[in-house]
Amino acid sequence: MAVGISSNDDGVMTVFLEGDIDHHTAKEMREVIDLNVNKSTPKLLNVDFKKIQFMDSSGIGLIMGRYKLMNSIGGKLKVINVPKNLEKMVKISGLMMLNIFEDEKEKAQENPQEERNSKMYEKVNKSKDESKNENNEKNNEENKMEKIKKKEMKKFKISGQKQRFD
Amino acid sequence: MVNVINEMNLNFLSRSCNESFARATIAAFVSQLDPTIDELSDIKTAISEAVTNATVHAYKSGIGVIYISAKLYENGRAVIKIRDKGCGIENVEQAMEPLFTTGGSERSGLGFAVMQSFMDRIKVASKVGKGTTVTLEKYIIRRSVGNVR
Repeated sequence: MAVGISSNDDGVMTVFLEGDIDHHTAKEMREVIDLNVNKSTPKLLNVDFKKIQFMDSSGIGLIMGRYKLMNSIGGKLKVINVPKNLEKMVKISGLMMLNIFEDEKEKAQENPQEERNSKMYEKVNKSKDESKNENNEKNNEENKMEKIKKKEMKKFKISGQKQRFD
Repeated sequence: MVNVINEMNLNFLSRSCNESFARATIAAFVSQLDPTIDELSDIKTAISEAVTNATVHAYKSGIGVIYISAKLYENGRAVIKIRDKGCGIENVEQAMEPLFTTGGSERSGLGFAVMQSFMDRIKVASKVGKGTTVTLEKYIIRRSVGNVR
């Protein structure tokens, strides 16, 4: 399934999209998102683009449509973690004006504590590369990294929600 | 006179599931010119837009055949033609305007704008009732000798 959904009690729904977005896959994504939004009418809909490898203008249509949908039920839309290779498409679309894009890096800059954490993450990443030749160590490092990553993701999520509800 | 170093033709039904097939196939073919990931991504996006147009607009009342031909030139030029025998475009100029769409609220109306800005050249020839041919061109900067030649 190319769409994963999580929601919490505060009315925040997060949709995790995966794979390619074209006219064919956008239809399925739209149907799943709309079904869930209409069912639980969240205050905030986060659409996570982290695992999107390819997107044509259908992705822009998908964002525009969800923006309108969230507006119509009095909620907000945020598009998060848009990969660098999709930025060209986003820029052409003019959707930047809607101020709905957010990523982990931006959040880190807003909060010095988070920035420190992400630097720490880089360091761990680096040390992982250095231990490439030693398999056992590599595995250990990877496990460590996964743990730190998860921890960070949690922090980012929490801080993100705080910012939104302030 | 710049020589053609390779050529291909591809015909397939205008089913939306073929959009990914078309862009992946053309990308694999153009890879022979040793493009960067960005260049390849631009081509994939433009192909996706053109094939979507043929699927959604040209053959809006049914399923037809989409014809793609691609030529690679010695100087790194890739020319890709996407042809359909669908309904044709009445006003090509208007269709190419950014945000113009007949596809409803889920379509962004950016198809031609994306093709224009992601490729080096685009030509659209259309006849109502006969079909449309979109010709896309991109120069791949030669960094090293590619697989062919």
